[in-house]
Parts: sequence; C-alpha cells; structure tokens
Amino acid sequence: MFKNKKSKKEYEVIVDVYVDENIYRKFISYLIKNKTDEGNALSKILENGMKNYWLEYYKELKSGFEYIKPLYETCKRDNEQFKSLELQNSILKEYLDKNRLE
Amino acid sequence: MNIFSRFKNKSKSGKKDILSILEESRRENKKHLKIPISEVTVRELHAFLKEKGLNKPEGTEKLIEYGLSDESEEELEILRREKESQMSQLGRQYSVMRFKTYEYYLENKNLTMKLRSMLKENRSLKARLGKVTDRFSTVDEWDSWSEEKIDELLQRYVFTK
Repeated sequence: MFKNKKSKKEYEVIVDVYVDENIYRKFISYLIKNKTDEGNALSKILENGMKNYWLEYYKELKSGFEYIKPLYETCKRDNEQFKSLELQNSILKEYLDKNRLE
Repeated sequence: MNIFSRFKNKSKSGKKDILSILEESRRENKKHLKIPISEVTVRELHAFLKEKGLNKPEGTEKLIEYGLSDESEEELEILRREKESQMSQLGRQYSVMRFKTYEYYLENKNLTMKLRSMLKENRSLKARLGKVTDRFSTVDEWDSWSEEKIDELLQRYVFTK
C-alpha cells in the first residue's frame, strides 16, 4: 500500500488507496477549489482527518445512533407482542386443560 | 511461516482465496488513488492508525473521508462541546442498542416463522374458552392481524435482503 519513492525535493512515499466514489468527487473538488497538487492536497486532508478524528467519529456515532434507534424500537415492540401472544397461549391452554374444558 | 501467508494469494488449485475475494469486493465500485506524499506525513499516519487500532487501507480511507468533511470552524466547535458532554454516554447507549437489536432480530426471526401457528392456536383457544366462560375475554392487538400483517413481519425478519 505504501511504496517509497525518492524525489528531487524530499523523500516521498506513495499512498495507494481505494476510496468511495463520493469521497473521490470531494477530493477532486478540493483540488479545484484549493488549486493545489494531489500530494499536497492529500497530506493536508490526512492531517485534517487525524486532527478532527474524534469529532468526525462522534458525528458518525450520532448518525449511527439515529439510524438504529427506530430499528431497535420496532424490534423491541414486535418482540413484546410475540412474547405476550406466546404467554397468552400457554395460560389459556393451561386453564382449559386444568378445568377440562372443551 | 506466517499463519495467514497461505491465504494471501491464489490457492494451489488456482482458485481465489477468501481474503482476495473480500478485498476485491471491498474495492468494487471504488476509485483508486495512488499519490506520493511526504514521508513525514506517512510516518504520522502510520503511528496514528496503529494507535487507534485501524488497519491501513480502511483507516486511511476513513481519514481521507474525515479530512474532506466540510464543517466550518464554528460547526466544529459546537460538535466539540457536544462531544465532551455526550460521547461516552452515547457510545454506551449505541453499543447496547446495537447488541439488543441484533438479539431481538434473531429471536423475532424464529417467532415470526411460528407466527401463523401461534395465531391459529390463539384463535382456537379463545373460541373454546368463549363457549364456556367470559372470564378471560380480552381484545388483543394480534386478534386483528391479517395475512398482510404476517407477510409484513416475514419480510422484516425472515426474508430480509
């Protein structure tokens, strides 16, 4: 993934990475907006990513939480209903059997 | 010999191994970046990924995504303050919720597969009971569950994509 390469200016390492298409598009927009070369842009972006790592991680956590909350509530509600149905069946069955009711 | 080395490339039969297949599927629909950057930044990057326990390809991609995030300084400051007060609590809640959702999902999958027979039994028990006493007469939500509702639950828990 990382290969060393001697340049005229300084020692450089090739970053070889695959990114999602939307990230790639943002990267191209960044290059155009900042009128910079790919190497400088990627260095700045990576530094920025490391600097704000916990903030971005927190943002992701928040959106993950918002995504899973309704799923959790639906699963919990369904589970309670299934369990109540199962319990009611066993209570009714026991009552009918105990009292020998047909 | 590294324990994983035999999985690295093609197997003796020439078929692709599972790690190559997984890596290829991860790269599918992705764009390839191959860019030289300063060794100093790469050293910082390696140390950072190691410290956070992230692997190189996915961790680097994640950091590029984070680094391209376009919040203003003001928005970042708001996020920073919010994070200080809520991060640990939210992290705990999120982990518990994910675990419980998965647990409910597995249990619901089994119960949904038995749902038709449970409903049939319930309706028959209530009918038998209704003939002899009104002591346990209840109106429950599942009394009105139609085939449509059962299909909806089957789609949710059994035939999920």
